[in-house]
Amino acid sequence: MLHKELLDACKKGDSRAQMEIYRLYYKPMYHASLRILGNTMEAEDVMQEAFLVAFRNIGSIDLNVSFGGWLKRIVVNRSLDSLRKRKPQMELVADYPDEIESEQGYMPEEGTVDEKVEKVRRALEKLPEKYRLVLTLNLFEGYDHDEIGQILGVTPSTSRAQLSRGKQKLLQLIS
Amino acid sequence: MKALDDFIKENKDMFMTNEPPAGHFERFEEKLRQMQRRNKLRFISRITSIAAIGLVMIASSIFIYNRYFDHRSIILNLGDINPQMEKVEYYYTSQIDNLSVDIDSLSIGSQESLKKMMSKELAEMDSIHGVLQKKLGSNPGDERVINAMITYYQTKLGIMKSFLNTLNQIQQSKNQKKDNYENTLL
Repeated sequence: MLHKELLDACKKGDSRAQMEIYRLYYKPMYHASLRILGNTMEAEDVMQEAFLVAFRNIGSIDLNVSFGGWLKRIVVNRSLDSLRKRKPQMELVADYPDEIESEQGYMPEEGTVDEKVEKVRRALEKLPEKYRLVLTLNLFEGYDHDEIGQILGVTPSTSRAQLSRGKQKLLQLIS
Repeated sequence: MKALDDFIKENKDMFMTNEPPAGHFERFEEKLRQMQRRNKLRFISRITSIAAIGLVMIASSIFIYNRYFDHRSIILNLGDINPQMEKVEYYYTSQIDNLSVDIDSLSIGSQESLKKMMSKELAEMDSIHGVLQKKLGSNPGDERVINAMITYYQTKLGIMKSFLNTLNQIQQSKNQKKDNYENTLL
């Protein structure tokens, strides 16, 4: 079945099509949630709930708009909600005016691509939440600073500053 | 030297090699099933509400007739009034017949209890339809009775369509389970 036909079938409540859409999208959605939450079981649960929310509301969206982008937004928002519930006092990203630091960070030369990927992954896990979230949303999920500002409830300039600092911290950890 | 941004963009897939915990497909299938069960319950409560509204509307029409019009025992159908109403009645009765065939073909096994529930609702409506036929016989061409009969057909059709949708969803879910089972045997 074509992607559009699958989504139309999902609109009609066809559970086989819903399962097929899950198979197509679960991986990027799971990793988006995992990078925010850092816990595999919680990430799976949030990711699956996001699919159910999407299927319940699929009738209200225009399927010419990217389904993946819409679903990703649900996953990200629900992952952040879950993180806030876990750490209610935590400010995900401090909102304060900051100069924009825009210098580019470079990967170290040594090591294979596999090794570098593993290093980046481990370094991300060690990063303080405020950096990890902005880095994840920008570098992995492709959101710009206006969108990150909306998602996290901060200004775009705070997002830019945190991204720049996050990159520096991450590069320190992997070098 | 490669920029961190470019490195991540170019190797994005390599950051997604880990699978969710084992058994996540089965857990999601179960969550889908639970969602469908909840939808079924919502359907039953909706069908009951629709039937209740329809019954109130039809019963109100009957009450007006009992109160204000004389009673004779001639029975008239909507189609007996004029050729236009004959077309209207034909449209609704043929739609209802078609839906009945579809519903019968899907109402097997565990769905029979659901069908009984729907049939009970429809039987109550049909008894009111009988009263309306008598009222039409007493007062042929009266718009209030005609409207009540049309409301009866529309309500009945709405209930049957909703019921058929639910049966289709249940059937799709069963087919999927069967396919999954067969796949495990291959």
